[in-house]
Amino acid sequence: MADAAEAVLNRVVVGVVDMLDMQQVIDHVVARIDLPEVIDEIDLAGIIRESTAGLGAETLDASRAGLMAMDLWSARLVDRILRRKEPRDLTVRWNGSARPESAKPEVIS
Amino acid sequence: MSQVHEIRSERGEQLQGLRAGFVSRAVASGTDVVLVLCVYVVAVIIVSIAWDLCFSKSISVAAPPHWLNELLVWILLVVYLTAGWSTGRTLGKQMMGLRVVRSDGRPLRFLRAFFRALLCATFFPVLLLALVNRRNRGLEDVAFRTVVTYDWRPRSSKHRLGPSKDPQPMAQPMIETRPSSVPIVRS
Repeated sequence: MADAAEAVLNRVVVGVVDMLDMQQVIDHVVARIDLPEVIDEIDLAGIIRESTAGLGAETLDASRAGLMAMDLWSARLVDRILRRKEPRDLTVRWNGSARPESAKPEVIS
Repeated sequence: MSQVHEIRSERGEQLQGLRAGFVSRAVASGTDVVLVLCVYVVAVIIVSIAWDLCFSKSISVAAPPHWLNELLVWILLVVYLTAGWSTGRTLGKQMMGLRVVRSDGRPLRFLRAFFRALLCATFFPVLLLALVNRRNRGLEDVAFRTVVTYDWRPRSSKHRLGPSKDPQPMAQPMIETRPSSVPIVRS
C-alpha cells in the first residue's frame, strides 16, 4: 500500500516538475538576489590574504623541516664516523618562563 | 585573525626548544652574510651616485679599495648581528626558525651579543665545531655560553623581555624539553 502511494506521489511530482519552465523559475529566483551586495559582503581581499599567508607559512615550515632533517642526518653521520655510541644531547636547561611556548615540556626530576 | 603560528610538521613541533644542528645554523648564517653584502653593495652604489651628483660632472659607480670593502662589511656585519641577537633574532635566523639565547634560555644582552658578533664576523669557521660537538655547540657558544635553539614561533613581548618576574622557588626542578624521538644523554 505504502509502495503504491509512493509510486503515485513520485509520478505526480515528476509530472509537476516537467510542467514547470525551469528557466523562468531560475530567472525569477536569481532576480531576487542582489548579487552586487552579496559580492560586496564577501571579504575577497581577506580570503586571498589568508590563503597566501597560509601557503607561505606552509612552504617555510616545509623548508625548515627539511633543514631540520639534514641537521639530524649530518649529526648522525658525524657521530658514526667518530664511532660514538651515545646520541647527542639536544636539551636546553630553560629557566621556566623563557622557554618557547611551542616546546612540550617534560619534567625530569 | 589569529597570530598563533601553527607548526604543521610533526618533527618540527617535537624539536622546538632544542639545540639546533649545524646545517640550519650554517644556512641562517649564510643568509645573514648575503643580506649584509647586498645592503653594502646597494649602499656603495647609492653613496657613489649621490657623491657624483653633488661633486662630479659624470655619474659612475666607484669601486672602493679591497681593504675598505672588507672593513666596512665587517663593521656592518658586527652591527647587524649584535642588533639581531640582542633584540630578537637576525633575519637569517628568523627565516630558519632559530634563536640565540643564553645557556639558561634567557635572551642575550647587548655586550654578550656584541662580543659573540665580533667573534663570528671575524672567524666564520667557529660554527664548524657544532658539527662535531656532542651538544651542537659552536666555538662561539662555548666561549659566550650561548645556545642556538629551534624556535619557529614568533615570541611574544613577554619572552623578549626575559623571564617573568613571578618568583620561582629555588627548590623547583629545572625543566628540560625533549622530543620523544630524540634520545637524551644527560651530562
